[in-house]
Amino acid sequence: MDRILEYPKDPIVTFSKEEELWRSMVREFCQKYIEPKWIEVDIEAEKDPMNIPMDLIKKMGQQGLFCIPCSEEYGGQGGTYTMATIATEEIAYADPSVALAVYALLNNGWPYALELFGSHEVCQEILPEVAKGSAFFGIASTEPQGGSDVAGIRTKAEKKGDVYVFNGEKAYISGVGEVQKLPWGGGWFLIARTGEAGHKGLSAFAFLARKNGELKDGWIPTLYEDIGRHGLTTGGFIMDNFELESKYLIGEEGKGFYHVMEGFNLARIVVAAATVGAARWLLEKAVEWFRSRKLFGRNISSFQGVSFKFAELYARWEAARYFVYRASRLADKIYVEKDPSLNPKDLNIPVALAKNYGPETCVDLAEEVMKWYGAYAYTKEAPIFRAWLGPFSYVIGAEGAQNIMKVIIARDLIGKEFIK
Amino acid sequence: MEIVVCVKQSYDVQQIKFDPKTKEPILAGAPRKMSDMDRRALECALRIKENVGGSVRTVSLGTPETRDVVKEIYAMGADSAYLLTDLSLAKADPDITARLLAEMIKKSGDFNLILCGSASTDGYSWQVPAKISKLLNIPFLPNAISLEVDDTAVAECDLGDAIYKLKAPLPCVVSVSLEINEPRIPTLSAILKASRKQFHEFHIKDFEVDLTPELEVVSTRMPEVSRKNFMVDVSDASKLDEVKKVIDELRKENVL
Repeated sequence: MDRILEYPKDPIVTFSKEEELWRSMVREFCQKYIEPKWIEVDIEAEKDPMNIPMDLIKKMGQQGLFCIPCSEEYGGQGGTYTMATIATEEIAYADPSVALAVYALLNNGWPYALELFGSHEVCQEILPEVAKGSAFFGIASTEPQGGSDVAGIRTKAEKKGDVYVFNGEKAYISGVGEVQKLPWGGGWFLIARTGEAGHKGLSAFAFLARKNGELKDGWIPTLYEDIGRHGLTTGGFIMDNFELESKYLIGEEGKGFYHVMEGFNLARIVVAAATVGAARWLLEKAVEWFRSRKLFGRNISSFQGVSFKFAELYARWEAARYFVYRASRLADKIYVEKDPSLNPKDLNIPVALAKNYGPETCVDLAEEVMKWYGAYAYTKEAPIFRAWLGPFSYVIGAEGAQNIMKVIIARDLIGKEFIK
Repeated sequence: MEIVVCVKQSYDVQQIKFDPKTKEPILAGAPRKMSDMDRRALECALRIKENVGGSVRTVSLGTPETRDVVKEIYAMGADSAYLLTDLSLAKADPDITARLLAEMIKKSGDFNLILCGSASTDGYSWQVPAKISKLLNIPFLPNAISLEVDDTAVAECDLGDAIYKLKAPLPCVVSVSLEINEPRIPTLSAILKASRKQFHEFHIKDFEVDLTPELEVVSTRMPEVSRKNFMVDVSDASKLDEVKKVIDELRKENVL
């Protein structure tokens, strides 16, 4: 495949030979299996969200694209978080609607968070199924009253003997359809209230709505119709006296808020990586167009109104990519290398910058590319709109709203007491 | 079954840039990859091993950058890799390459089957596998699009005019084409394990091989395809007869 864009040499964002080989292998896989099908996946799942691309999920599992940073004893690849980030960027480059990239990033970030805080027994049960693409494991935090106010979560988990009994409702949750359709099933890293009001009364659970192919009682799902990124389902569910064995508690009771915040930091890195991958596709689509499209006898990129905007957006893309890999390298130092001089909170600002900047850049770029393409971009024949509507979900929210990212940056830099 | 695969670390020709003035390829820092047909030869070897058992070892030679191909060789599943790297090998012609590979094959152990890509992605000489078979004095099945191996090797060989089913006793050399299989894409776990495996290194002084090139490369240049730019003016209805000229021209070119 000819290179459309010759990217500048970069001595800062550098990769080891293993990482380079891994990127080229993921790219080869994606160009072979995902790139030829992503538009079809988007079209089919728009008709019915349950048209989940099961064949691709299975293939991705066989290729080891899930649970990349998880241990091999749990069916993972034993890689680093940067390796998961590289894979996510490449999957989104091949599927810029980001449906498959988001499936992959959820099933890398949250299984890894489960391994960091969960028990050996639970990891042994769930992670091998997720790794091979037979189960889904995402995040269930948001509730109908809102997502950003995690400390205000209302779902209750009451301990009765050897089980927790759940009552409440979760909303805007990825994977509600996948959990029902994948062979094994799966669930979420779910946050529920086990104690007092506020963040100290929250606990985290490996909440399995379906396992070994059997749905559990008391779980009542519903699916939403998304405007983009079809191929990954979004839905909600009610828990009506849903019983979960107490072994599925992640870490200690009352520590759920802290565990989920660390999980969010990890997941936000790969969310940003997905938007950086989709944005790379958009940049290349723009350049292809500039080189062929002529108006007034000139290439449209000879108009500075076009080329200057392209240059500005390219600069933002490079910055977004730097934020992503700076954050993933830091995550490796904290969680993989266990550098004692670092603390999980050191990830807050680098991650918030990546999550804030990546999606915004991608969506702004998509809008501009559509304008450069002109009326053709407003037809469904041109695929650009799919790379606009998909990543747009990450400007709205998903693993944290954009304004929450700004709160984190301001709070950690200025000081908590000065922004109240 | 002891299988040897000849693997070249080629330039990724699709990513090579050319100097616009001299039209020569800019090779400094140009990306490299395992040669496409060699990758299929390795896949073929791994499948045979999976069916009948044995071992797969690779032999590679080239400049020191060739070492980078070892990770991919091991990640795909080869048991051992033998390398000969030297700066002087940058200009090794097909004769020198075949002589050194034949010696490496002999020195690295016993063999029943030697698999090669029919041609490398960059040099594309199509000569090396045949020369290896001649030097080792064993049969050669060229350009295989399928291969079955038990006590003998049976290959369907695309020789241009037709596909021939050829059979040879073992040991023999088989060169494979792109059509023979779809090579596996290694997982991350395989890549990480591969990076911990050591390779066996030969040195050029280990071999008493004449390194004088018999082939002189005069130049390597970007292929230029000039367009005919045949123009016909049909800017108004009175000139419509000119369209016939287009048809005549297309007939002349055997397009119609």
